Amino acid sequence: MSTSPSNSLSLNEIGETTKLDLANLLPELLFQILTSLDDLSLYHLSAVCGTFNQLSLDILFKRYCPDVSKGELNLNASYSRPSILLPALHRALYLHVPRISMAVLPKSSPRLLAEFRMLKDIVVRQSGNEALSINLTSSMWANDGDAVRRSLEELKPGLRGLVDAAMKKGCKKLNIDTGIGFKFLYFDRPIPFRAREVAISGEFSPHLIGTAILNNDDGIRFKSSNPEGTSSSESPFGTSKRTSFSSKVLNKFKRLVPSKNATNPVAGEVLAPDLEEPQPQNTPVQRAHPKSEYKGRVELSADLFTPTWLDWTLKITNDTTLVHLVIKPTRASKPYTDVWHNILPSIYAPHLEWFEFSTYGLGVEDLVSFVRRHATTLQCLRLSFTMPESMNSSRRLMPEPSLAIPEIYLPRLHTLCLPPHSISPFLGLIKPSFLPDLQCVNIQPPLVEWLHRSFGRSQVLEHHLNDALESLGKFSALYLDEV
Amino acid sequence: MAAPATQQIKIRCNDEKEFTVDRDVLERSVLIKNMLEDVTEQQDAPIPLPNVSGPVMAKVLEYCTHHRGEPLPSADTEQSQDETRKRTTDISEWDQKFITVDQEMLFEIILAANYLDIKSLLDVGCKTVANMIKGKTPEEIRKLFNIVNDFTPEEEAQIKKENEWAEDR
Repeated sequence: MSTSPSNSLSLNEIGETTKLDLANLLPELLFQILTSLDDLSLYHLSAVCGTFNQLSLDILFKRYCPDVSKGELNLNASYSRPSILLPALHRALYLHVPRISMAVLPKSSPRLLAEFRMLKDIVVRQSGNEALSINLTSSMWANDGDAVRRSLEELKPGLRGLVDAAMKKGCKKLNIDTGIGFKFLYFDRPIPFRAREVAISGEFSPHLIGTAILNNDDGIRFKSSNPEGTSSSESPFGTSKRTSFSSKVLNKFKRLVPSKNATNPVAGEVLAPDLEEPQPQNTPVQRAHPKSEYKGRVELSADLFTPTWLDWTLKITNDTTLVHLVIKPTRASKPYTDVWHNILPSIYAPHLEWFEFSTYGLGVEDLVSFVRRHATTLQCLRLSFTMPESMNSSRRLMPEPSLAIPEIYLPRLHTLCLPPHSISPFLGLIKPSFLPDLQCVNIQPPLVEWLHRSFGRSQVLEHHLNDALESLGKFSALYLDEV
Repeated sequence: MAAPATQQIKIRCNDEKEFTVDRDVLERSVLIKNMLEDVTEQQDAPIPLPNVSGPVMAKVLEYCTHHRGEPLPSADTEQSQDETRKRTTDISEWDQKFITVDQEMLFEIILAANYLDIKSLLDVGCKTVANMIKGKTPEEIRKLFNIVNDFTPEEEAQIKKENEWAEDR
């Protein structure tokens, strides 16, 4: 190589005044430089300035690019790399992804809110949203209970905003799986549902509102054609049908129940023969949003009756379309043995046909009180007191105290499933003629065994079961397997 | 018999500085190589390189001379992004000494390598900058490269919060 000594000028000599620095390099060169960096350095760089923030996040996204194909943003693929979700979402801002699926990663709660917001930004930029699926279960289970509770309130607005954005974009399929303890982060307030299908499932379905929801005929449905609300006349449980049914039952009721009982009524309680319709009066009843229709089996975990969820839960249970309510135990919850006495009086579902209570802590007196208020609507009352797993020990059951409960008329009671020690006092309150439709008594074996341990076999049969059967007088089926 | 003389090529930089360089050295640059292939007749006029200054070109030519004769990377042999990342510190001793220059010169070399399409030199330059960034905090990076923090306090707090998890890994 040879060089000519002539015409030698430096950059400064030719008037170059702009000092070249890193930020002034061409974007493609910056990109090449940054691709050589490790993840941590890229995150440090993202905090340097706006330009490097965008570039470094783009690189992180490309490095662990989630599956984006055919209009679907699948963030589940990044499950093993929790670090990439946020940069991936930043990158996805520029993609056309009408279908979004995101599995929130373990130990991700510190940045979960940011991810929700980012995901919302993505949804907002789309011309429409076909499906949004958020799975939070793994994240929730990776945290201890206190951490979950602490982050609960913080996460709510993020998830709400995301779902709102999806709904505004015409989301047709919404699937929110928040797992036990985080169920219904969003659904604690009325929302303008237009989705044709809403699936909400739990870690151990169907603990909460669960698997049945996906079944078209049985599940919870939300009107897609009438986002502004559903009038009662449009509902299969609408006014005209309800009035007809109520009149029929109440006419029958008039012949059996004296009107002097009509004092101090509470929500839904059938007290007087001249009542046109059970009306809530003293107990404030929270109603669910009229746009929702709970036609199918609604299963609610005992968790949902804790203060965190109680408002939302009462809206659901007091919905005028609710016909099938199951209150179930949950593995994650502590026993709430002292709350049902306060909670049940707040529940009134005027068209409830099936009530199943399979957790514990509900006294017979409270049960009777609840039944009284639904006497004309409970077509098939199934009261299932399942022995909780945590109680499967040597603990002895205490006898039910003697009760002084006024007579109740249960014209539609078809099936009764109670522990033997409860059947006796329960049925002892009711004249056989007040149970015209009772056809089935179901006593669950685990409870009978429990009673055996507590009182001895003979006492169970003689002082509990036999008394119950005698008081019943007539029945067509008795299930006492393995007794 | 004497070995055939290597063709000498003249180039002229944007500061009018001219270099006369062996053709095989210059052909490390894909840009110049293509230009030379397009010109069938021998020309005495220097090839103008308006985007490169003399001092920078001198460094580039130093690199090209050292690496003359080495095979040029083809499209097929280009490394994937991931592999490139793993080779961050993979810079030969000579290249490290060569690239030990002030920042402005470093960026000029990178720009020149990109313009002249010298992939190996561009790679050395980019990896050197990456190594300068590596292991530094955002504030250290700003200081090193004289970058202005254009985040609002709210944005900065948000980014810091979002990146907290990365520090714990």
